[in-house]
Amino acid sequence: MGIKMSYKIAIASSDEKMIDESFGSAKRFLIYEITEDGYHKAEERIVNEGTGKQQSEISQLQNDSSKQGCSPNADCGTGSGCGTGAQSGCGSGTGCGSSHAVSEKVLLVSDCRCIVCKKIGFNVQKQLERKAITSFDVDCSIEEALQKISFYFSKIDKHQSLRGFRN
Amino acid sequence: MSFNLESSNVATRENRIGSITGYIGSLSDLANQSKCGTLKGCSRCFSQSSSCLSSCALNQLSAIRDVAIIHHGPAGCSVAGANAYYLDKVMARKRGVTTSTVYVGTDMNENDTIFGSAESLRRIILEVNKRYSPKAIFVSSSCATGIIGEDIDSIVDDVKEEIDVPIVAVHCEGFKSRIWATGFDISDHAVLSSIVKPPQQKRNTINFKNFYESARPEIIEMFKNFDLEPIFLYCNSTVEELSRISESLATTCICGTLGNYLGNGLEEKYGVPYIRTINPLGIAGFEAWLREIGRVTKREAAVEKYIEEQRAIYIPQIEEIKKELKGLKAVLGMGPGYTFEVSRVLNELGIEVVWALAWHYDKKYENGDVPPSMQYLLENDVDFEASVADQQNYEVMNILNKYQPDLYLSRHPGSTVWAIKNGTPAVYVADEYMIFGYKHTLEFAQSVLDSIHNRSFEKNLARRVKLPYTEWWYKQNVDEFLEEAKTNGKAVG
Amino acid sequence: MAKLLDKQRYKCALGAMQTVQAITRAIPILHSGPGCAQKLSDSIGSSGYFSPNIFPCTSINEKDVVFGGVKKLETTIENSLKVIDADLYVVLTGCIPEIVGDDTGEVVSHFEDAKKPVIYASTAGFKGNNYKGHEQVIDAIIEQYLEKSDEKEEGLVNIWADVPYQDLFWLGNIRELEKLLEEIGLKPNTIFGYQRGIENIKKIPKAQFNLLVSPWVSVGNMKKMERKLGIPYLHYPTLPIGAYETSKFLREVGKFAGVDDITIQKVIDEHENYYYYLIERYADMFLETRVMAKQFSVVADAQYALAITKFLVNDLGLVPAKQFVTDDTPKQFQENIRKEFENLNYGLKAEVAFETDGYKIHNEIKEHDYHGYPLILGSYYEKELTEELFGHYLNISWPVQDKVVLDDFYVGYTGGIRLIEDIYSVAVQRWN
Repeated sequence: MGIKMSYKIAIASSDEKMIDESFGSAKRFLIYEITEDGYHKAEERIVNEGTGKQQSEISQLQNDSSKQGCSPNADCGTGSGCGTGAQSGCGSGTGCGSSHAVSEKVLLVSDCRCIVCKKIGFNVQKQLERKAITSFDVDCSIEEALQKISFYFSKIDKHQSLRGFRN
Repeated sequence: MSFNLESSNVATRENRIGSITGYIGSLSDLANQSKCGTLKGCSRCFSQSSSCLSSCALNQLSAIRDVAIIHHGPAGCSVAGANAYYLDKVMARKRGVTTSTVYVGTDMNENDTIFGSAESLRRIILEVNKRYSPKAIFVSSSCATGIIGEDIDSIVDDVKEEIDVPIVAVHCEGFKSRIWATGFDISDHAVLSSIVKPPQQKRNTINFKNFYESARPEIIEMFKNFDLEPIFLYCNSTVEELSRISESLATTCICGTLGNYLGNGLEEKYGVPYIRTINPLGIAGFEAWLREIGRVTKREAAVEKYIEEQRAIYIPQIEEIKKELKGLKAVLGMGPGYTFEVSRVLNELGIEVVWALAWHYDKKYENGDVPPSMQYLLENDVDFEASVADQQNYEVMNILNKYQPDLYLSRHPGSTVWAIKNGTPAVYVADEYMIFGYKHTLEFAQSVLDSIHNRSFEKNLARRVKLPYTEWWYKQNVDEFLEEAKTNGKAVG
Repeated sequence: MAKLLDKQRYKCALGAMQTVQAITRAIPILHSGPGCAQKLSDSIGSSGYFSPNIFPCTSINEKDVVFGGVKKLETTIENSLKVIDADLYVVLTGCIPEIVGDDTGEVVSHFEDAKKPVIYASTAGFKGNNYKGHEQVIDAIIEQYLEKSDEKEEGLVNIWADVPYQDLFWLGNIRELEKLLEEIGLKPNTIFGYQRGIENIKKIPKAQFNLLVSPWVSVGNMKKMERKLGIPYLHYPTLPIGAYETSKFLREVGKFAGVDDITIQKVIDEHENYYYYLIERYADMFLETRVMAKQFSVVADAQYALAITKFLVNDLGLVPAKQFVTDDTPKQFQENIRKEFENLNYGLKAEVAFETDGYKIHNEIKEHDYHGYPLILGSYYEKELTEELFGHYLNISWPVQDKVVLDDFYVGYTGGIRLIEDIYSVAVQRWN
């Protein structure tokens, strides 16, 4: 329970090297897949420029991403990976229906375990949090971020201590 | 919609910057941004202490009668148990009931952070169960247990066989959320997932989520007019009562931030309608709220009759006192569940809000709407300066210093003191029913007036104390420490 | 090892932010979660020049765990220096940075040349309780701020006593101890409370000796100062309450400081004359109350359990039932403290339990036969219990809900009278 063999991380980067874009300004997200053996870039997702996106499209998007075999967030379950306790059941997450106007970008990455960008708004963080998606606003290279994050999650998932993590 | 990041002049709106864990701008901007989903937050490079989500979560749960809270962590985390003990005792005594709720810690030490403490926790759970025979057990994690990877879910699963009451793991790793009000959601989640049972039969009850049920007797009386019986949550609730809240006709809450998760949860899972009006504070709020309850429970006629009777008693008195309040200027700082509601009431009373701070801002409610309190202000053309700041006292001081309002209103412990040191009279809107309905709106207006009429205390104190901030700080803009938010392009979120 | 902390009576090491708070114009900077300060503060009496809601805090979140929190700490310290007008900045670390290994010391070292001193103390919650945290803060001051002084000031004595805020009477007590020392001709120096602060800290190395009035807290600090600053110390384990203990205290301090007997005796006589004038007038109250048994229990930290036991036995002639020390006293000190409890007038010995589990304490109190209505001095947890036993209850230890103390005190001759007033204000509520 709670242990994921693989998961996805969405990254906002313009040059595929540095994390140099804010959540708000990102035009696309690079999706990396993290497995037991390491990580690799799986795909790119382009942000739809239209502001008044139709609900049906959003639902479609969501359904599509589920079909692609990404684990839905609700599966993130009650493991310690989802600290808010708000992750499953009611009122949030993918279970409560896509008819609600959650931010489109959030939906775009809603199958990812976490999002990494240079800056991220407080309210987006909250929306993500309710969907059990972790957000990191950092200023470093993609490689560094992926290494640190995957190491962190591997420890958390296996219920291993982060003692001396920094060293 | 676009904010000028270069500006240093805080006093004019067009030059104000946007975005925050913080946001600074006008209310209408905040709401419009919120509507089109462009509001952005930003993190700080300097912040002062605020709150821990475990406080919100476990204070709620420990108010339930005859349960056990086991807070697994160092002694500082479970220190809230001391206050919970006191509150449980005095609240039960006031209501004339008894409670055997316990809130214990595990005094985690360095050894535990190295070798883990799963076995100790297991033993502690069983011992607490043996000592107190609680009706439900909540086992909470902490930052330290989260960091060392303690698997409290497995431990709880493990002991389930040996314990015949609901036992649930409650995740309170403070570092995992920046929004302490998430704690309310956490407690609701625990109750919904482990205690609430599917309805057996519908009853004429209404779930009323609140903090300390101070207006309980009068609300019971009021609801008798509509043949409704309120069940107050969670203070002094019993596990049995909670198990049946799915049978109620509706759920309502004194504060949106507090009740949101439970209300929506009960609605989705068990079809119990959640009353989503502005809060029952002030006249407009109280009436809108009552009418919605009337509509949802099909008691419109009785509600209208009640409103008419009460208006006849109170409206003339409120009108009278408004004459004296006219022209006063106020600054307020509260949780988002209150800031915009209280702003509205102040507006009803003729007090001008010059700045409103919300400690955080729920951009979208669970159902996707702009918060009703804000919707109302927009529809009624009420606008003022607003900011979102997670209890950043240095910002409040800066604002008070610049605007010198007639009064400051807040509802978080320790916050009023800073206003009076500034010489600003402060009204502590602590009790959630302080502005409830006609009667308390009148009382509130009176206490505002009393606070303004005698300013001796704050003047005496302000004259003698030195404020803790440097001269340098007072010369800065309020947004000094908001890291720049890059708002190029069509930002979403 | 983790243990059941039922009815907890202390905080964690980070609670030492209150020790910093008690030093006027010193401010703690917390490298911790956002809510630690709020949790560890007391809801009343915290709104001084600095209050917990303005303590700068790095508000550690998940990002800081994964990517490190030292940068945030650096900007937080930097901006604290700019925004907050303080004399001393004390960085305190919480659980997370200590477990993951943030190098706080390295960050703080960047501020060696700052205009104001910045020091740090390791106060992770799991390192111990706030009594230990208090020691950590004092140690930090000794190690990182103080230098040995060749110049000594004749008669200057540093006084160390209680853990501020954890001890309800810390402010009044320390002032009263100062007064007593002044009366026998010494020059007291303390760092806590009104008009004390950085200047007093600077004076520490010039003292003739350190006076520690506490059963165990700060013994380590005294040894550290002896080693580093060359200041000898007198460890006086009993907080003196009432005439008997206070006179004994003055004699011993006087002897250590080299004050002549005549001066000491004169001070003692003056106080005792007034003290017994009061006692004489109220002796009827002590003797003729129908409602109070001769036996009592104290449930408190070592400081108060011992001090009040000695006062009630040696001064008022009561008889000790079992006493409970709840501060998680380190093992190495327990034996000496136990001996103090056994060293009472008329060969009386008080049985003492070092116990942090409130459930066990309550059971023992319930099972004991006090031969009448007991007198229980303890924390708020003992209120309901004492009511069940029809006893008399006084809230003297943390948590406190039954008493508001601004600068009241129990130490010394006057303090003894205050304690009597408090006890009998409870007793006279009943006739029989």
